[in-house]
Order: sequence, then C-alpha cells, then structure tokens
Amino acid sequence: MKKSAMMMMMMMMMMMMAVFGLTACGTKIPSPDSQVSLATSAISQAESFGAYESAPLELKAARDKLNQAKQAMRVDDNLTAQRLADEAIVDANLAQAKSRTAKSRKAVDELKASISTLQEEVDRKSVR
Amino acid sequence: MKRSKLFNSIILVSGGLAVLLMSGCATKTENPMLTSARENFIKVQADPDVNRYSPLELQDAKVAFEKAERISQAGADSAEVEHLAYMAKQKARISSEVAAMKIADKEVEVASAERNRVLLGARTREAEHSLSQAEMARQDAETQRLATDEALKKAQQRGAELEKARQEAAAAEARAKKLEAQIAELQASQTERGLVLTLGDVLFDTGKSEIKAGAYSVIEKLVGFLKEYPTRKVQIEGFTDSVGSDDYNLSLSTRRAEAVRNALNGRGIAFDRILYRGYGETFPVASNDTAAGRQRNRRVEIVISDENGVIAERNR
Repeated sequence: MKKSAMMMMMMMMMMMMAVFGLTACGTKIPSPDSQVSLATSAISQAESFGAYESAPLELKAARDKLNQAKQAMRVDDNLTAQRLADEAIVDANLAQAKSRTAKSRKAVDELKASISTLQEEVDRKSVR
Repeated sequence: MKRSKLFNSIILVSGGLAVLLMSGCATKTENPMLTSARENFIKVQADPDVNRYSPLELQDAKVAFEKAERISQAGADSAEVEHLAYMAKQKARISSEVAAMKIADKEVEVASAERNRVLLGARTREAEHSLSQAEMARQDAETQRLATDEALKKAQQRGAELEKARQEAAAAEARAKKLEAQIAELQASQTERGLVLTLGDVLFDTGKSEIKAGAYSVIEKLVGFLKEYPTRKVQIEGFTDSVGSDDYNLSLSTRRAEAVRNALNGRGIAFDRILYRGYGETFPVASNDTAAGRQRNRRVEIVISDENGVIAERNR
C-alpha cells in the first residue's frame, strides 16, 4: 500500500475511535464505594422514620438497587454500579421524606383528637 | 486510477459507518424517562409550597434536570440519559415531598399550641371552678358560723330566761314558805273562809273593850303580816257569850272589834283595808252552858283575805 492510503486508513481508525470515544464505551471509572456506603446509610435512615410502612415501594426500590449495585461491582461494572448506587440514594431519600410527612400528619391527627376530647371535657364541666 | 477509487469508497463506507455509529448512540425520539422528568420538574417548579418550603431541594432538582436535558441534547447514550432523567425525576418528587413534610411539621406546631391553649383553658377553668367552689364553701361556712352564733345566742337567752324563771320560782317558793311560816307564827287557822286569827277572851277585861297588853304581840304580828302583804284585807268580827242582853252584847262585841281596828290603824294599816263588825252572842263556837264554853265564845275573830283582798261572807 502507498503511504497516503495508509495515512487515510489511520485517520479513519482515529475517527472511529473518536466516535466510540463519544459513547464513553470502555472508559475506566472508579469503584463506587462511597456511593454504596451513602446508599446504605440513606436506606437505614429511611427505615428509622418508618419507611417500611409509609413508603414501602420507594424503600424496596432503594434496597433492590443497592443489591444490584453490589453485584455490578463484583463483576467490575463500575458504571452500572455507580448509577444504581446513586439511584438507591435518591430512592431512599424520597422514602425518608414520605415517611416523615406521614409521621407528622399522624401526629397532627392525634393532637386534633386530643384537642377534641379536651374541649368536650371543658364544655361538659362548664355546663354545671 | 485504481488507488483514488479505493480511497474514495473507504471514505464513503467509514463515513457512512460513522453516521450509523453516531446515530446509534443518539435517539431521534426523546427518552420517555426524560419526558416524565420534565413533567415532574415543571410541576414542582410552579408549586408555591415547594418554592416556599423546599427551595434547596427544588434547586437540586433543577440542576439535575438541566444536566439530563443537556446530556440528552448532546447525544449521550440512552442508558446515561435514562439514569440522569430518573435522578432528576426523583429529586423533583423529593422537593415536593419535603415541602409537604415541612407543612405537616408546621401543623404539628399549631395543633400542639392549640392543645396547650385548650389545656391551659381547661386548667384555668378548673382552677376558677375550684376557686368558686372554695368561695362557696367559705360562704357556707360563714353562713353556718352566723347561724351557730345565732343559735348560741338564743340558747344563752333561753338559758338566762330559764335561770330567771328558776330564780323567780325559787323566790316565789321562798315567799310562799315565808308566808307559811308567818301564817304559822300568826297562829291563824285555815278555814273555809280563809285565814282566821282568833283573839281570845283574856285580851279584854270583862265588859271592857280596851285591849290588854298581852294582845299587842299578836296585833304586832298581824300588822307585820299586813304590811308584808299589802293586798290583803282583814275583817274583824267581835263575839260575846250569851250572858247579858242581845243589845248589850252586840254593842260590846262591836266596840271590841272597833278597838282592834283602831289598834291596827294606829300601827299603820289603812282603814280601807279593815272591816269590822260585831255579832254579839250569835255564832257561838261552844256551848254557853259551861264556863269554859262561854269563855270560848267571848272572842274576836280576824278573818284575813286572800291575796286579792276577797273575804268570803259568813254563811252560817
């Protein structure tokens, strides 16, 4: 082959590699250890606010994604693992917010019932 | 020129491949997750509660959404777009949920304050109720105390009255006893006409109407009695035996009765308390056949009235 043809070939190869490069296929990303531990603590925090009863779907999603992230890490698929870990964090946070809202609403209901009872007592006594 | 033809076709093919490859990494229609993320974001961005109560979370959602959109437009692969869109969607939902949580927390505060207010009101009312009950109890106690004082006063009054009555009864008894004693001293007899004091024959000389000295002790006693009991009156009755004429005896008996009357008057007894009369030889108390009997008939009887000054008439 003539030199110019070879140069052309090289240019094409480089172009193709650039195209591949756009997709980031095959780029090395670090192991998402910190995201996995963040996800773990976010899930347990959500649980402490009663997410098991108040936001079961979001909590399950978070747990499932965390497990899948760990599995991905085991096969060195760090990109997938990172994405799953990030999503697990956000699902856990949502579960927590929902649980805390539910808790406060329940507290309001209980307070209102208590007020109603107290008011009845007061009215009953003042009738005498 | 064989070389340029080959070169051209390689360029064409690789160019076509490049386009194909490039189009494989970018989608012509939008990722549905990104559409969903956009819907959620627009909704929460317009929500006034989110803007007020969870602005930081809203900002977080905005950054995530804009990144997802940017990446999508730059032609990143669908897995990356889907992931970032999911993150953006969940962050939008988080901002909405955090706003709801803060609103609920505020309601807890309000309800808690309300409960405290009602509780305070209830306690205040109870305190007031207790106070008013205590006041009523105090007033009852006061009323009772006054009633007790009143009852005590009445009891004391009654006691004083009883004492007074007792003393009066005792005084009356004493007076009655005194009277009894005085009557006993007078040596008067109790008859159907009342008390009768008899002055015997020895107190007058025969045929005379002057009282002898021995009579004066009796008269003094009678005077004392009459002065002690000023409502009492006396009726003095003179009698003789049958010796001598009726006229003579009548006159004598009258004069003797009069003498006793004068004696009483002389000692301070008013005339209007003294009646006197002579009965002569009438109404003898003994037989005139014996000396002893005649002596007995020669007498002066003094009838003492009751407390009202009444003397029953002789009904023989």
